[in-house]
Amino acid sequence: MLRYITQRTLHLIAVLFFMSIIVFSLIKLIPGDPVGYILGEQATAEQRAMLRTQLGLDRPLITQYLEWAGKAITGDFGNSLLYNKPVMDSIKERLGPTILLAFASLLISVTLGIFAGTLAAANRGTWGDVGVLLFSLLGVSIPGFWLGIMLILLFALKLPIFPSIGYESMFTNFLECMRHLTLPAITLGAASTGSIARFTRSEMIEQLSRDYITTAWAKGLSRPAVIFRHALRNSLVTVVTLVGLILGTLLSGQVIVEQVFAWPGLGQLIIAAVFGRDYSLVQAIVLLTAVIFIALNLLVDISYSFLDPQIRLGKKG
Amino acid sequence: MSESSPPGFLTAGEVSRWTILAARVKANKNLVVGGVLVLIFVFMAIFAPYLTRYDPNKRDFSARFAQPSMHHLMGTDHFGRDTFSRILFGTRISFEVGIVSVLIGMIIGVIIGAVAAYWGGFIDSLLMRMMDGLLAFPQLLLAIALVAFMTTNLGTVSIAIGVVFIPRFARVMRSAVLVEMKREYVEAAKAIGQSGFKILFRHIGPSTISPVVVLATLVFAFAVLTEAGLSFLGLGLPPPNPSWGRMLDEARHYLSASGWTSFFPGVAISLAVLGFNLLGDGFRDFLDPKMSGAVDMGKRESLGD
Repeated sequence: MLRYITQRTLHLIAVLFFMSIIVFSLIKLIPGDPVGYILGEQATAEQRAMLRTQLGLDRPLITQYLEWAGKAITGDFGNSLLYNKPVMDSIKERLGPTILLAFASLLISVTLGIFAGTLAAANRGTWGDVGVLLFSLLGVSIPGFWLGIMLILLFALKLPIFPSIGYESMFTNFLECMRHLTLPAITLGAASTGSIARFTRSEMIEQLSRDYITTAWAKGLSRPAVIFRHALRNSLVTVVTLVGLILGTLLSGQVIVEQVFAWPGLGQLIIAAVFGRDYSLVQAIVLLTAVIFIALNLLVDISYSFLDPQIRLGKKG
Repeated sequence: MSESSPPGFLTAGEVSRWTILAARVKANKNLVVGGVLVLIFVFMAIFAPYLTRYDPNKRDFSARFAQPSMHHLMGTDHFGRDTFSRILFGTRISFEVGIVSVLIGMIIGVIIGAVAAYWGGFIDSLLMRMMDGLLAFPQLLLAIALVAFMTTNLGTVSIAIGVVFIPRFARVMRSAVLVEMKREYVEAAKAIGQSGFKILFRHIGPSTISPVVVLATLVFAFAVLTEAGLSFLGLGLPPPNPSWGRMLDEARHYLSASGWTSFFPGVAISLAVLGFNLLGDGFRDFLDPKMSGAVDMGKRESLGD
């Protein structure tokens, strides 16, 4: 077990190294002189020289990278040109809304997805099953930005139940916060609900064909007991791994959903940073999101290995 | 695919082969529905100018926010531009970006995967760790980061989306080559002293086409979705290009004036993405039912975002 975790951590460090190189090299993609591009035409020679030193463009590439990476590890990504304060401060302000939205949609997609997938598998071949499959296919095909707009049209404009856009802090007004959260969370969760339902369904179908299920039926266990207590419990072990991938979906979808609903999270921040040519901010957000993504995936893998004795005993790891 | 002989000159064996083929296609609902959807969009893209009498960028302020009617099949937008024409021409942009980005991801990814699998050892570890690094970025975020640092045009948007695909093709190609390398014919080719490149291209290459084609179809769906997403965020092709994503972004500010303008571009995106998803699933079942597991991994990752 310890060996497995060490192995995974070493692999993660290698991956992180390459990721940091990719993010660092982004700045080299800027056509021509990055300093001129960032500051615009009217900048004075003095301003240019200052930014050049700040970005470290006057030193060799390897020195530039090592210095940048060394600071990045301590969370220092320099100053944001757009907000005129440390990049990390701007990011911290936006973390709350983003985490709230991510958790809400994860909750929706995991509960709804597993429930729908289980029902579909237990009633295989019925209209309900076809409906779940169709829904999951639509879930991955319908773009989040369109779903969000249609939800606003229906449930904020035609039937004014929910506010169309905006954010309310959980601590100032909990009820308003939930009202603002509903539509974005449904929009963001829809795609993952579909994939979790599909995955749970196929996993459940496999479990239901196993011998221990036949034994359970033969013992005279009730239908819910066989389906939920036996088949579902064993399927969940595998469904857990999908949650890691779902997190990637959520982190990407977040950018778009935040834009649709004017949700003041990291997604809106990166778009503002891109348009404001605030490259340190863009680099920091991309790197941090990716680090969060792989760290969560590592956690999922480790918890999975606790659940699966084959890995726990080091047969696969 | 077997070469077609003119009808009437078929041997008994060939007749049955074609009958079986036709039956298999017919039984494969994903392939049929996905294929029809994709063909409709291909048709729209090629014949866009002949299918409408409106210029997609012509403004007509006397006809703003027109409801769908015989004059304007899908209504008009806030500039009075015909939505149907814009969707038709938007198909071209979606497909151009889709084709170029999938080609970029496929060519680079296939080469990396093949080299990693064939030479193995340190090169393999190095290349695959790099691929893991690329794969660890949430997909849309990586594309956003890439366009952020470049001037946006058809080429850079396609590159940004294509880079996201590289690790997926590399992984699928690598595992396909690894499977083939264990076969006896590779051993035989090595034994008669053929060069590594020759073995890789002449012998192993053809057997890896199926999984790569399946993945290419599936990621095409994702390319369409990402292009629309980038345009929606204002990071796609500059206006007045009638990109589906940009149409949605412009229309959503006039939701109370006209819901239709927001409705149709989304339908177009959803149907195109659905078509390629189904076609990819259909190809997978058709080409080799046994490999569904192998490419499913790629699919789940590629469509995850």
